[in-house]
Amino acid sequence: MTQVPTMPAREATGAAPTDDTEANGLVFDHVSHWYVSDKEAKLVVEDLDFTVPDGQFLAIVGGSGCGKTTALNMVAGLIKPTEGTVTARIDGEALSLPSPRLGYMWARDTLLPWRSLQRNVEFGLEVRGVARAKRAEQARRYIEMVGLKGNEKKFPRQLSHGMRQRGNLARLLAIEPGFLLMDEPFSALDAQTKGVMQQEFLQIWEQDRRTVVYVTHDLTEAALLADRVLVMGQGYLAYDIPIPFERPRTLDELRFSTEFAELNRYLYDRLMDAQKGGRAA
Amino acid sequence: MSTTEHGKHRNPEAPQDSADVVAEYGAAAGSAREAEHAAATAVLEDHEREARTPETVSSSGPPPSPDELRRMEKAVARARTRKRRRSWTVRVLQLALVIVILGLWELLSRTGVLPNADLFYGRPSGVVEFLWTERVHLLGNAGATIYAAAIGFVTGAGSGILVGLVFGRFEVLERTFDPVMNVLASLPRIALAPLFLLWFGISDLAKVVLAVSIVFFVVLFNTLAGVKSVESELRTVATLLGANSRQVFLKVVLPGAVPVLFAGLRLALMFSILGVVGSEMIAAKSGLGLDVVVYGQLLQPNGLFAVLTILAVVSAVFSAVLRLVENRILRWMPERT
Repeated sequence: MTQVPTMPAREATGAAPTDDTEANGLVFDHVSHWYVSDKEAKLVVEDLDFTVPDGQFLAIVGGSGCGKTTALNMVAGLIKPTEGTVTARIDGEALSLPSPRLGYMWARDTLLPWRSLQRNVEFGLEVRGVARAKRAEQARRYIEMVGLKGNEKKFPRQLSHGMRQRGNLARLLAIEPGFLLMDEPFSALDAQTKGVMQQEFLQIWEQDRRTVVYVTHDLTEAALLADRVLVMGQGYLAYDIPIPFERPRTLDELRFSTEFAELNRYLYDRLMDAQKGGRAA
Repeated sequence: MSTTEHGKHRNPEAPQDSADVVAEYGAAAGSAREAEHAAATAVLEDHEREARTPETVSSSGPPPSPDELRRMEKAVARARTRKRRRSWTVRVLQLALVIVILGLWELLSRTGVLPNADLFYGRPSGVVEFLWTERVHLLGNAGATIYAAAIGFVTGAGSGILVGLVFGRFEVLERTFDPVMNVLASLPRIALAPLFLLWFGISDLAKVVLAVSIVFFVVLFNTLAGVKSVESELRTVATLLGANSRQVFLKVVLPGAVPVLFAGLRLALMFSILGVVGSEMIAAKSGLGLDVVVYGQLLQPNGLFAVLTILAVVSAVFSAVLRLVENRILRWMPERT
C-alpha cells in the first residue's frame, strides 16, 4: 500500500479523529472518574459523552454531589479523568490541560486580598509577561466593562461581594480565554445583585460568544443564560435539553414569559426524574 | 488589647474607604460637597443601618435633597462624637487605674504595711529617683542590651523567614528536617546559655546567639504556618490564570503568608529581648540582665524596678515600630475588631 504524499500527518499516525473532535469546542469522550481514598473507591461520574460546539453556552445542572463540578474541573484540568478523554480545542488545536487559555470562575470570591482591583485584574497578564503599560490599559478596559471603573485602586476588602465577583469576572476576561468555565459564579450573591450580574454577564458574553461551561444548581439561571442544559443524575448525564430562546436576551422579560415558565417547569420535572435515576430514553 | 489598637490605627482611613464604596452606588464623586455626602452616607450606613431603607444608598434612587443631606451630616457628627467620647472615657479610666496602683504601692511602702520596703519592695518615687541618679549607667547597659537584642532579632528573624520559605516551597525539606527542628525548638533555650558562654566567652556574641536560637524557631514556624495559611483555592486560581509554580510562590504564597509571619515577628521581638537578658543574667560584662542580678543581690528593689521599667519601655517602642511597619504593609487586611 502506498501512502498518498499529501495526506495529513495525523492520519498517518493512525489517530483518525472524526469531524467532531477536529472542530473547536469541547469533547467529553466516554469520560469516567473514580474518586479513590484508602477506604473507598467511588465512581463520581460515569461515561460522560457529549460535545460542546464552539461558541455554545452550556449549562450543567444537578443536585449536590452529582458530579457537575467534577466534570467542570476535568475541563479545567484540575482533575484527570480515570477513563476517557476530555479535549478542548481552540483554533483547531487541542489544549493541554490545565491550560492558561481557559478561564475559570468560582462561586467564592478569589481575588488576591493584598492586590488592588487593578493589580488583581492584571494578574493573568502579569504572569504571561505582558508589559506593564499594556496590561494596565487592558485591565482598565475590562474593569470598565464589568462596571467597576473608578475602583481600580481598591483592595478587595473595600469592595462589596457583588463588586468582587465583577472583579473576578474582569480578571477572567482580561486573559481573553477561549473557554469560560464557571462554577456557580453568582450563587453567593443576593437575589437582586445576582439578577443584575446575570444580565450584564450575558451582555458581555453575547458580544463575542466564547464557549461557556456553566455549572449551577439553579435551574432558572441555567435556562435564562444557556443555549443548552445538561441535567445530571447521580454521576451520569440524564437529559440534554436545548434552550430555544433568542439572543440577545433580556432576562427581566424572559424571566416572566409563559414560554420560559413552561420550559422551567419541564426542566424542573427532568431534574426530579434525574434525582430518581431517570434518564433520556 | 493589641487588637483594639489595630482598630484605632486603621480607623481614620475608614470614612475615606467607605466614601469610595458609596461612590460605586452612584453618589457621584467630584465636588467636595458630594464627597462629603458620600462619606456621610457611608458612615450612616455603618451606624444606622437598621433605621434606613436600602434605597437611600442604591444607585437607582434620586440624589438626596439638601434637607436630607443635612440630616445625614448631623447624624454622622452625632455618631462621631459618641465614638470619640467612648474612647476618651476609656483613656481616662486606664490612666486612673495606673495612678491608683502606683499610689497604693507608694502608700503601703511608706506606711510600713510592706515591711522593710526599701530592701524588698521599693516604691514608685524611689524608682524614679533611681532612674535619674543612675541614668548614665542604666542607659549604657540598656544600650548594650538593645544592641544585642536588635542583632539577635534581625539575624534570627531573617534566617527564620528564609528557611521557613524554603521549607514552604519544598515540602520534602520540611518533612526531612521536621523531627530535628521539633526537638531543637522544644528545648528550653535558656538552658543553652552556659553552652554559648563556653563557646563564645562572656561576649555580645553569646547573648546574640541565645536570642537567635529562640527567635529563629519562632519565626520559622510562623513563616511555615503563614505559607500554609494561604488558601489552596488562591493557588489554584493563580495556576489557572497561567502562573507557573515559581510565580505562584512569589505572587500568591509569599504575600499571603505575611500576616501570620508578622504575628511571629511580634513574638520574636519579645523573645529576642528575653534571650539577651537571660544570657546577661547568667554572665555578662554589661547589659540590663546583669543589672537585674546585681540589684537583686544588693537588695535594691528600686534598681530592679528601674531596670524593669526600662525593659518595658524598650519592648513597647520596639512593638510600636513593628506595628507601624505592619500597618503599612498590611493595608489590605480587613480591620481587625
